[in-house]
Amino acid sequence: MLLIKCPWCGTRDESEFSYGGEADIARPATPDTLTDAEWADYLFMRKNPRGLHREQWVHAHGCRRWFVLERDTVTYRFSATREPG
Amino acid sequence: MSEVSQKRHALASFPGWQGAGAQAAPGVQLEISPYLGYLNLRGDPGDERFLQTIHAALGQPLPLVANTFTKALIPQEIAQGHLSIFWLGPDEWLLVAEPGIEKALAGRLRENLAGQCHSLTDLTGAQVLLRLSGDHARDALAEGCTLDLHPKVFKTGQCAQTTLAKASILIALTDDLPVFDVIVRRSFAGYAALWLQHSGADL
Ligand SMILES: [Zn+2]
Repeated sequence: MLLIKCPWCGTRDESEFSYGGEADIARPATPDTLTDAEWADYLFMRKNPRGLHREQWVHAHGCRRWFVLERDTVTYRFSATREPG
Repeated sequence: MSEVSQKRHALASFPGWQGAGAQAAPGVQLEISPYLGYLNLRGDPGDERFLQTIHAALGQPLPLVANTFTKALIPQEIAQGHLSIFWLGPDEWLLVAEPGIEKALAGRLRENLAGQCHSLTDLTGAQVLLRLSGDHARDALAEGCTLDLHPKVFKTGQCAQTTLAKASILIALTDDLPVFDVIVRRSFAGYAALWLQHSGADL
């Protein structure tokens, strides 16, 4: 059983959570000034690292809050969950 | 708005379900409370004025500790009965009271919270409470719930939003006997009740 620590509810089973993709992707402040390549980069390109990855998760069946956590994509070890923003 | 002339029990159409309760299995007693009043309240727990207003209005403070609930008598001037307040998230609570009382509670809260940032939603009719008790209640739940329900971990006064098999639930331990209250969406009530009957039968 894989356990994830919600910053608010505490440690729960992974089945209570949903994955929300890579963290820290900010929407460009002035989209109309972007080239197609820059816009595509924002929309589609992700890091996909081997090792530590900062991710967004939501405690879907619990408190329904979003948070950020760090996952090692090699060992699947979760660490350092925190509130977003 | 059309008037609904008769309330329909959430488990009325399920075979073998007679009346308000059933012996799910030896040592597992299942009761259903289909018509309680439910209010969802949101606000900033860091705002002292918000907390004090609620405390004064309801006669009991909001539980601020994660995964806990409180239960107390409702102030006489509002209504006769009890109110349970469940922590749902860092700024969200579920208020559960006897049938019909939720309107008086909501009225009092709206009046006292006027002008303050908050959200109050009447969820009455959207969920059903299943009460599971008996020596094997804990075992029956453990078959489909990923929470650690051991009495040293999940104690009386604690609650949690989690899953029971495929259903999202709010579970609370209301008595050491043990007595578990499981609040489930109305549309999942039949599924959850039948699932509990079956899991109890497996023990
Ligand atoms: Zn949570």
